[in-house]
Amino acid sequence: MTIEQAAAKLRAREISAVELAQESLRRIRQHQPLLNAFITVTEDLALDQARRADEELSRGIDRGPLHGIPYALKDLFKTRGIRTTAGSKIFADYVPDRDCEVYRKLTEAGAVLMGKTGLHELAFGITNDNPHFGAVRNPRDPARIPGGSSGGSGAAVAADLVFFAMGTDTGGSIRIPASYCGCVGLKPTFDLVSRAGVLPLSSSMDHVGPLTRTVRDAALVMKAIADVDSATGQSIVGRRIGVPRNFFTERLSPAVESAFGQALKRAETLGASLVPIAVPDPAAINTVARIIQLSEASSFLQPHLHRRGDFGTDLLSLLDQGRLISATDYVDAQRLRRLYQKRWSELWERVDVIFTPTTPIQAPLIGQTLVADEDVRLASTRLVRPFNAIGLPALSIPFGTTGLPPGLQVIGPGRSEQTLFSIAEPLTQS
Amino acid sequence: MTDWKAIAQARKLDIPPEDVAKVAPTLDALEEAFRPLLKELSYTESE
Repeated sequence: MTIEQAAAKLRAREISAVELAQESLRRIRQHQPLLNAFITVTEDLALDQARRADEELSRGIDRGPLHGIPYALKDLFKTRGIRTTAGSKIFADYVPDRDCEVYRKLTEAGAVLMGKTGLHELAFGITNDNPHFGAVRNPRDPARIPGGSSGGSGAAVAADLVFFAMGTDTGGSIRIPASYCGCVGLKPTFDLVSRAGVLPLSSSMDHVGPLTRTVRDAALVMKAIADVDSATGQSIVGRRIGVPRNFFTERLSPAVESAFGQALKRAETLGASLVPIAVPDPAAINTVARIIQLSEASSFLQPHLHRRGDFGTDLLSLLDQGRLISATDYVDAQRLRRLYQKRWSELWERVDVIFTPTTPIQAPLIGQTLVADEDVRLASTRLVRPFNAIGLPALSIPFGTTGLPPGLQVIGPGRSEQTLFSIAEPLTQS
Repeated sequence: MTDWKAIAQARKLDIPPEDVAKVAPTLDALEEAFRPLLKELSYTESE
């Protein structure tokens, strides 16, 4: 069931918000032992919010399409009075005294919080194999990672535990789980969705966005949290789709390459035109982005770095790297980033959107470190990280019919989320 | 090659030498990719 379908049933009194919340809680209880998608389940709060949603609807108070809809927040979003761990030992007992802006907006929209989802420690990694809270597993194949760092959110949506879940994306952390779990994930334009009250990792590259079952659901969530027009309205017909000849179509697994080819054919069949393009500097952008992310993350965690034993091994290694990078290199990386942003802004004269695979591989096995001789972390982030550095919106949709459908990434100019939805939605409809 | 242990020591970072040694190859590879990019930057004009 989609958000829109549930919303219609709520208004037709075919189902209540309490029943939706109870069903969500039942599914969470059923799947949590295997998937480990949640760190905290907020059962009492959920039932309170659901009762209020029902009571309001019965009095004719309608807060919009998310009214009474169960959802989850990555455990990086501050929630007043509810532990917010960031998947870490460092914040294991942290109980914020205020809500983040996104939670405030979702509460205002009448959505029902079911709990806080698991993540890679401190949102700095893509496996979600968390040393403090255990591995989150992929609902499509529990032997595999869900991707990360918003892996609990991806798993919760893909396993139908909630209708949508919020994530953050600093180097692909919404889109990678979307791709590996087979759901929709949007990294919006930088700062379009408020980061206020979300624990930072890399302030100049952190993005907040939704993971959902459908493109339409993502549009509805974006309307509530960022006032993006949710009426897709536009058409894919006549749209110019840039297809990179370089970088983004290199070193793909056969399954991803095949699914990407099918997505291009489908777009052409629907009336779009494919425009081969050479995209500027993607490998260089990834290098620059890594320097910025390592530096900013070690800055944010500076007060805790004396607690070396409280960080997981991979985290500690990344933070050590960040501390050894010089301030001059960090500033130069930011200067290069602006140069690359300018070059990318010129692309939009020739194309409306760009299609790439989201990840060059499908979900790796838990514990797997290499894929085709490439580090799993670098392979997973290779095609998504550039858009954190240049701040453009990027939407991942599942494409293909296998058990692990690869993700198709649709990228557009700044604040073109509505266009991305309009182009992606028909591709997902059979 | 950059002497990462010397940098850690000079900046009084509390990173054990064996942990510096662990990250050195990754940092070397990152530097190798990063240094050539700097030729694109102007050092006489403000961006």
